[in-house]
Amino acid sequence: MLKKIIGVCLFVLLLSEWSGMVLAAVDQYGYQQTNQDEERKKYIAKLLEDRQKVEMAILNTRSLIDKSRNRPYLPELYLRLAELHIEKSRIAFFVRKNQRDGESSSLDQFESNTLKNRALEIYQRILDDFPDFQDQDKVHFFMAHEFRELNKTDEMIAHYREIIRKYPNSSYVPESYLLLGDYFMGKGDVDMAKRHYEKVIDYPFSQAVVIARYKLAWCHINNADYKSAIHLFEDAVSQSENLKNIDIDTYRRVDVKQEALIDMAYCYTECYKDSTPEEALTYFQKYSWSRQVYVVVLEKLAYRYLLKKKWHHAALVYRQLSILQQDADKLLDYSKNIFECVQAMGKFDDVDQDMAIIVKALKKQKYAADVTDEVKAKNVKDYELYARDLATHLHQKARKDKSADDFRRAADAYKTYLEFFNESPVKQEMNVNYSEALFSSKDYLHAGKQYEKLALASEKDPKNRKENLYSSVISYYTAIKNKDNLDSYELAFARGGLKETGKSYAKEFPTSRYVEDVLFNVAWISYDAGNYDDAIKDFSEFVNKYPGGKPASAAVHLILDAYHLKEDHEGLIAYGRKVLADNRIRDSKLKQDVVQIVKATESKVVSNLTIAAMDDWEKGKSELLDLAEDSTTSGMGEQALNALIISAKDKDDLQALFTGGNTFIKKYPKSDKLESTMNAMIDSSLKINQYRMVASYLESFAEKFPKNKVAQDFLNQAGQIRKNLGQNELSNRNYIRILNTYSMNDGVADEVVFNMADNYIALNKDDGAISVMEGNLKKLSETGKVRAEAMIAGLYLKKGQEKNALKYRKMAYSDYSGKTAGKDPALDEAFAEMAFHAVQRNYNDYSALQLKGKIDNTVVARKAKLLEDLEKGYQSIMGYPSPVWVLSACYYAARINHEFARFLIESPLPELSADQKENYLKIIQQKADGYSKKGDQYLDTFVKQAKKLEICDSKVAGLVDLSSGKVTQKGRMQSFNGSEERVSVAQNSLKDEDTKILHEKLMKHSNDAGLLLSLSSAFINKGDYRLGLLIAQNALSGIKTGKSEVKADLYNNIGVAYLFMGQDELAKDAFKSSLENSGKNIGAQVNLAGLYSYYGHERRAYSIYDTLPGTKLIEETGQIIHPKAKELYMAQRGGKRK
Amino acid sequence: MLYNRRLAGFLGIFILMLSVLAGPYQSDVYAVSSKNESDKKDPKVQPVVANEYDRKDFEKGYHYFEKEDYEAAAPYFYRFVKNHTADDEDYEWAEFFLAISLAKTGFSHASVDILSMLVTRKPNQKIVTYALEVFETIVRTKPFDRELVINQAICDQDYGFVDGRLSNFIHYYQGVYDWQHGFFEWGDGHFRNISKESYYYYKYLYQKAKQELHNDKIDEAIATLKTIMVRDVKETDLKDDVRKMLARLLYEKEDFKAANRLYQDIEQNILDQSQNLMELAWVQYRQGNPEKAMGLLYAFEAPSFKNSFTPEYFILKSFIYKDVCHYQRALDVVEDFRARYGDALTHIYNRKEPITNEALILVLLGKKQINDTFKFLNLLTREKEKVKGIKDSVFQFYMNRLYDLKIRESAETLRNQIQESYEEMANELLKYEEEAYLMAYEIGLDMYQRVTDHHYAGEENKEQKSDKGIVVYPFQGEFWNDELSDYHVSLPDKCNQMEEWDIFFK
Repeated sequence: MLKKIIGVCLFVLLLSEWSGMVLAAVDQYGYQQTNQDEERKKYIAKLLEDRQKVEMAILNTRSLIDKSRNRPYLPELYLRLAELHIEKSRIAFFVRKNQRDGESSSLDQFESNTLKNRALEIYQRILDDFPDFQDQDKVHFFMAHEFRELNKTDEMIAHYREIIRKYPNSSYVPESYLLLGDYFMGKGDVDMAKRHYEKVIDYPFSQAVVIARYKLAWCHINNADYKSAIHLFEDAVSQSENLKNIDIDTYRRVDVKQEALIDMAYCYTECYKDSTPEEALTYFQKYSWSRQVYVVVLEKLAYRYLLKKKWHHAALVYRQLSILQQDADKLLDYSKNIFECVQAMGKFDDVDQDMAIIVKALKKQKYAADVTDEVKAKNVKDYELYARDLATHLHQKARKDKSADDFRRAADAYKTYLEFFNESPVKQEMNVNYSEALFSSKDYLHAGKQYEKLALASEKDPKNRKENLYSSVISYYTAIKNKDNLDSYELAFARGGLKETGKSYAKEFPTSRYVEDVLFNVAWISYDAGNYDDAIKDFSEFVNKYPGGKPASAAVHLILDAYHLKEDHEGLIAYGRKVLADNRIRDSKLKQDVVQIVKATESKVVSNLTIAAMDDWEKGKSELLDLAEDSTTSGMGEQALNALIISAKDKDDLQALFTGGNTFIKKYPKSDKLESTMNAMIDSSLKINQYRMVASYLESFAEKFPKNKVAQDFLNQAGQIRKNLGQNELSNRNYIRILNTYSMNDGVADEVVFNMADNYIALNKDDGAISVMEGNLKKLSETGKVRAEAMIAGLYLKKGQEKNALKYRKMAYSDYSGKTAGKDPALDEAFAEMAFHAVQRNYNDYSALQLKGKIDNTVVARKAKLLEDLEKGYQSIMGYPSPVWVLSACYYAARINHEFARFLIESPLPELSADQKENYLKIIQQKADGYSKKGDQYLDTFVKQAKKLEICDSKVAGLVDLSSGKVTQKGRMQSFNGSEERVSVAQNSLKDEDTKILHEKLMKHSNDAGLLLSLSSAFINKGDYRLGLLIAQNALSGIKTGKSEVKADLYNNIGVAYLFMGQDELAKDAFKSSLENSGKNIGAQVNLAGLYSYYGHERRAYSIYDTLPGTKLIEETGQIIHPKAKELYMAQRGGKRK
Repeated sequence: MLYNRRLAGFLGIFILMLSVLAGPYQSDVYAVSSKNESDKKDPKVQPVVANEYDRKDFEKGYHYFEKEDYEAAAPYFYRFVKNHTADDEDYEWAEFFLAISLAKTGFSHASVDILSMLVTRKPNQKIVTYALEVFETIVRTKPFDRELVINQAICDQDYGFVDGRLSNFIHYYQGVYDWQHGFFEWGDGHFRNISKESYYYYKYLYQKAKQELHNDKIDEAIATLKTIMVRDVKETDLKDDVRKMLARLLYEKEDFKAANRLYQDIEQNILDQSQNLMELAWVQYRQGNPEKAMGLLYAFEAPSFKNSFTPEYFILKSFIYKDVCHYQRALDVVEDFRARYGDALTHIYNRKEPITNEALILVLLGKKQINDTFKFLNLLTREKEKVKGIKDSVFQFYMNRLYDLKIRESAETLRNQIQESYEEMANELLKYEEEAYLMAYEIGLDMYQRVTDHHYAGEENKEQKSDKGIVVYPFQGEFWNDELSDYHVSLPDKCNQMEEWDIFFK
């Protein structure tokens, strides 16, 4: 039967195709142009023609049957004949149907049924007449089919059962069961149907099995056995892979696999009631073989859930469908259903998705040309309500639960809504909601944008504008505060947003209580973005407007920091000072901070300049000086100068160092760096051996810091230096300050008092000397006291105040004892001097006491007594360890004896006889000779001692001609140099090219004896002997041991300096020391020889001259030679040459 | 010449962009009318009762269609379709013929619109097959509505009956769609059905490589791409895509030589290869050929590359100069970056509308997705212009409406794409700005370091000679079109040489 049916169909198809070819040509696209009336007529004609052919075939078959009696193939001919009747029956049906133009009539069936009955008769004959015909099962099967067509179900059942009963192995058995099952199913007899379908399962190789399973599943569904049903559907889906083209009557066009899958959706909702929608999706994805099929089954499933009011499940499946589907109408349906589910559930968790689905659907429709505007408008209107409802519900829920997630979803939903429903009647409200949701979801950037948009839209509504602008400011601000959540663009946008909205807010609503905060943040944003110029400008305006509050303090700090970050130090300092000067800013802590910051910055500026100056000193120095000069207030100028001093010291730029230092001291007397600066200057001037400057700085230091523990010492040193430099007046000023200010330390009193006294004496101010010594007698040491007493006594004596002199002399004599004698050369010297003058005070009386023309015994006796006393006194002095006073005593002892001798000889003769007279004269002469001799002995002692001591002291050396041993006429001679020449080079030495270089070198190598020698020589050569002397002495103090040429040179310098200063004795010692270090020191040799020569130590002089080289070498020597020494040398050389 | 042409093109594009991005699309920009055609009333709005047997319009249409007078045929088919329903005889054919007529008369989008609706109704297989052929051709040759053609017409339907080349086409796009939606098994099923030597198979392999890359299976991705490379793939676009992707992967694997070769092999017009050039320059740089890299970078000085978004260019150039101690030049490059993108950055900082950021907008148009939309919008605009030539008012009304709506949609899409990409690009530019600052800082550090090293290393100032002499190909207009791969400049190593500025540190 199946083959038959197929054969008929193919036949019909062939007919139609053929007819098509006849009717119209097929164009390149396969379209056949047709005329329906024509077509129908032609079709009927064709059917009639076909019927003729079938009738012809029936006639032929009959004829053949007649000719084939008893032939074995006769039943097959009958079978063919029956099939031809069936064909004719169908053609007859179609002819009738087409002739009536579509309207059907019972008569249409009559002819057809008649022919079917003829066929059934033929089939029955085969069964009856040919019981052995091998295809009897087929005949039964065909008959059952025709009986079903004729609606004769009993007969149909009978034949199917006959097949099952009689031909159990027939291939028609499973199909018979299947069709019987269908029959009972149709009748509602599920059990019977089920039994028949189950029988089919026993024939696994039959195509009917797949269908039977599917049908059986439905039986289970009818019995509410969904589990069994779904398993069968699953099997049907899984096992029907190769049965796409099932060749079973009535099932030919049925896609059982797809049907089974779709029906699984029905069962699934019953069978897996507890499964989640996600599980359901997974389940159906597993059984679906394509996305398209999956969509189909999901639609069924979603609908089932919807019907069963499983809202959550339905909604989720519809959402999944919305992702997969593109069809606008379907999407709209899904949206509607989702909305229904969500409404029913009252849960709005996925509103953002749902909103997207609605908009996706409407968007597709919106731009579709085939949908009318009316439909679009209606849908937009309807769905806008759904969408609005969804979003606002979620928003309410979010507010209630205070859930940031819900707010975020609500915001997403609003966003989607507003993007599409841009003409919504509630657009404004939704915009507000959107803004709020964004803010509450902590999406501050977008909240800021949204509020800004609202502010723009509410330009004519000040209240709303104010709120929206402020909300925008807050949103942007909060976004920036959490900048880690923003990318670079978002951050830039938020900053710009805050700035714009903030400025607008402040401008439009200046009285708002938030304006202060807003303006602060507007300024802050520029700072945060690194736009420091803007930040400074905005913050400055802010501070100017709100100088009083805490924000102002923060703003000031940020302004300063902005300047700092810009490295605009000048700007920072200027602003800082402005703040400090602003009385409206009262935050004292802030001001303290600003002071520190400004100071630190000033230091930084100076440091930078200082660092730069290290690389380019001339430029850097100039900049530092400019800065110092340009700075109107103390801070930076002070620091610049300080840096200049430090750098200059480092760079050995003495000019800059001392110029800067002096300016510093002058300009910034209260600077906390003054002490260190002055120390630096003292140290530097010491290093370069500029003692005048040293003294000056020491004095300044002591003046600025009188309470400093070194102040007294500094003054003392300054006094000493000044004294050594011959600046006695200045020296004493220092000592006076010491006396007036300090309780002098041990040992200092002696030094101070005697230096002062010396200075006064040098200044011919003996009263001053007396005063200072008298006034401080108790402060002096034991030896000092005696020395002072002696000196005071001497000075009083000098002044003619005998009484006072006596008083002190007595005190001195009383105090001078073994304890003190010989302990201190100065004391011994002073004591000797005092003693000498004490003796000497009678010398003039003695000399003046003369006989006046007649012998006066009283006079003689008195003179003899004076002689005795004087001689006794001189002799006592000769015991003191003081060469000058010893020699003086000798000298005067000689003089008084010679005087007495003269006195005797020249005394008037008494009135005596000639003989008596002769004897008298003889006796007188003898007496006088005795005194003369004694006097000569004293002179001899003098000469011997002077020569022994190589005395070169002008005070005594001139008294006696050492060569002849005779008393000279001139008495006291001039010093070797004649008179002292004083020149002060002072700071000019720093400009002098020669000394400047030496000073600079000394800055680095202050102990370099060679350098010091050169410097000493330089000063001596320039006439500043005292300074040259001091430098040389300092140099020697630095050379600890051993002999050296340098030492010899230094001693020579000292000697020369002393020569110039008239200190010939000291000069001699120095030259001798020089020669002890180096016997070949030409300078010392020439100088010493000259000195010896000058003071009459000829032998010693010649012993040196004899060893000296020629004049050329003398001229070329680098050592200093006193001009007079050179002159004497040259004279001696000249004489020698002669 | 090329420069002028391209510049003019860009100006035109820019004007168009201004109109599109300024707001909802207005057709008067194209001088059609002051009001959208679709906003007008339908001139034939009176209801027409469809008569099953009223086939006059169809027959007339078909008459002209047979004569290949598609312009005359289209209005008739449209009337037939408008006045009939899908159940009426030849309705689908009428739609189909209308679509073909439209395609033949230059209305590719209108044609696609009709065909995409038609195929979803599953008409007869002949119509579907031919419609799919039209789709396949358009997808490969013209800008088109991806949503409509790929997502809706191709991927939403089951075309099990189609075979051959069309089957490959369908399976490829459905497979990609399934993969994109996470349905990998179904996608695999589709890809298995693509014949092994077809274009779409190679396209599938390319997708597969991308998927492997996405799953961090780089070796597998390289193997897949190499599989394509050894096949005889004729389609240049695909082959270039494969070369580019493979080159990038090999670059990551530090196989610079192979990467270099692949970049060189790319056949795409050099003017569209700014990114490739940039990457090639990186390859050369990483290979230790700074001079070649610099040569490639010179290309970017060409006016043709004016609108390429290549801030990386400045960074790499600066790197190269820094490496060879041309510090001043390196700093100059950083300054160049600021000069080049200063306006763009100002726009960003000032939160101006993307449209006013000319520099970035022009570059954005070069991005594939945006460019596709833009090209499609251009196509719609051109085709809509042709609608004016339609004499039949009913049909013209329909066409105007169709195009207006689609132009509005595309403009909106373009606006959104630009907005989205603009933010990305702006963000990228801001990051590059940061990098430029960092670069300047690092250059400074290097300068100091080098001075220090120099002072401690002795005073031998040696200028290391470039082994290539000076510029091999002097700048002569647009030389780079053919000679880029060989172009290189001399970069003497100045690391041992004190330049003038160093005096400061001495």
